Amino acid sequence: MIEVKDLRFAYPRSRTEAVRGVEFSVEAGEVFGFLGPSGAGKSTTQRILLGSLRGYSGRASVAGVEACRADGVYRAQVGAAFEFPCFYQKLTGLENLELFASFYPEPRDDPGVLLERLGLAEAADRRVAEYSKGMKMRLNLARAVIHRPRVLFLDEPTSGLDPANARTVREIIRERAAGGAAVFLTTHDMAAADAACDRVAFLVDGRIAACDSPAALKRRYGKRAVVVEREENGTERGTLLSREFPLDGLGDDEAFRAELRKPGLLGVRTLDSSLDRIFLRLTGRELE
Amino acid sequence: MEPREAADTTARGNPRRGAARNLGRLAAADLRMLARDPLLAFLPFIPFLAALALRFAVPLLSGVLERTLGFRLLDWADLFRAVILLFPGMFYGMASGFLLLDDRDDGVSAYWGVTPAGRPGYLGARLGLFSAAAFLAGVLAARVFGLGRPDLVRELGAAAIGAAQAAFFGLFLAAFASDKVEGLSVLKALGGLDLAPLAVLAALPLRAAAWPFPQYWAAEVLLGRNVRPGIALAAGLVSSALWIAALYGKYRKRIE
Repeated sequence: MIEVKDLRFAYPRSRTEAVRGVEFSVEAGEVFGFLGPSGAGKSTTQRILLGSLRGYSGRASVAGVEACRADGVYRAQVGAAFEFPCFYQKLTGLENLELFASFYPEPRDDPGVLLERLGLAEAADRRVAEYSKGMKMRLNLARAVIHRPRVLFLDEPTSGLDPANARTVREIIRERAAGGAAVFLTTHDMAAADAACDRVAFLVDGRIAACDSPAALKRRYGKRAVVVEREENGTERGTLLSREFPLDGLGDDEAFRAELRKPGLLGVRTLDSSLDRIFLRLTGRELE
Repeated sequence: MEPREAADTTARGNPRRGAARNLGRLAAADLRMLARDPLLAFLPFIPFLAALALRFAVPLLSGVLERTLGFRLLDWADLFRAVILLFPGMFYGMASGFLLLDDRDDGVSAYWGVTPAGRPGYLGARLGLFSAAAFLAGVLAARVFGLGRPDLVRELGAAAIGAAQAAFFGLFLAAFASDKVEGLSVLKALGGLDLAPLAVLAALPLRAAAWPFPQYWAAEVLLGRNVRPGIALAAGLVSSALWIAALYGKYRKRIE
């Protein structure tokens, strides 16, 4: 659904390219996370795909149409939620939603049902100026999905949301993907990316440094080992003891089995990496 | 979630009807925003209040001037009518300009760029709606004024130039002002344009200084004092189009 090949872009009067040969594709029904530090080129890539930035080289197409030729038909297939939700402050949430939705072809979702799902039904007739940031973020998602787009561009959709609302947002994203939409998710929220994305790409200095499923990346950048943790007996507060065992041959490892039989066992955990750690490692903020 | 289809239909079927309905929705939204803004809510009525006030004030003032100075102001009622015809363009343009400033501050104008309407389509629709309203209001305000020698055909021509001023003022505000306070300063600077119709009374080369301004040509359409009304109408529309194109370019640079 989204095809990007050797994409390059430099802003006018800039000596360096903001995007340097980026390549990826997003299939229908896939949630693709685009992760990276500020200034890495995420927003530039998204703006190119939304048809807002021209003058790039390489290929950037949505549903087979090159982004530089984006027209009304192209944009009708796309839903977008910017990082900073922008609405008519003097109109109510429902008025905003209905106004923007009216410019898209059918079929569309019922705004009332969507607002109810996102916990905004009671605030539907209140002016957006009275909304909290979290409410605006949820309305932002509602506006992006109401016309059932084939491609969804979401920028930090869970920013400023409490865990319950963040979960609802992730559920809606997964549902839209299950319904066949290709979702392009830009975020700094690694937990959200881990929970919602089928694949993630880490963008560093305009280049993709790694791209795979979260599970595969966590294994690749993690350590093939497990840690057994137990509480030492006999001490007043209980001292936490950890012992590491290599994953290879773990079933035959007598020392591992013996450790499991000792009293005070708290748990066993793998040493997979996390997307947070991978992010920090790839962006150079923390060296291993 | 099982998405439920909305009962309302818009863009499917007849595209023209869909576009007209979208325009209607945008107009309704703009009206709501105007009505909910204490600063803007009264702007659409000012031209009518001004026309009504001048309808009574001009004969009174004319009588006083005639008795004291021997000058009959009522002989220039058509010039007043030209100014009245241009009023809605200015005030409706101010309203659209302030709404555009709000849009820019809130990021809404950028969002329209990723919708099927597109940013130019949305801007064109908004300015077009305010211009259409200014056209009707101009003709009506001239009727409210009621003095001089009413000539509907010439009034329609002058109102057309006046209507283009809505886009001119709207874009000027949005292109040069950062916020509403700055917008008021910009409007003060533009206030001199109200005097452009008076240039029809001036001799060359002073009169030529007003040629770039559509307001001057609107007065010529109505009075036909120095040039034939048809030519004045063409000149007024062309100069309006040039101003609007230049201001659109400036506005676009500002929001990108």
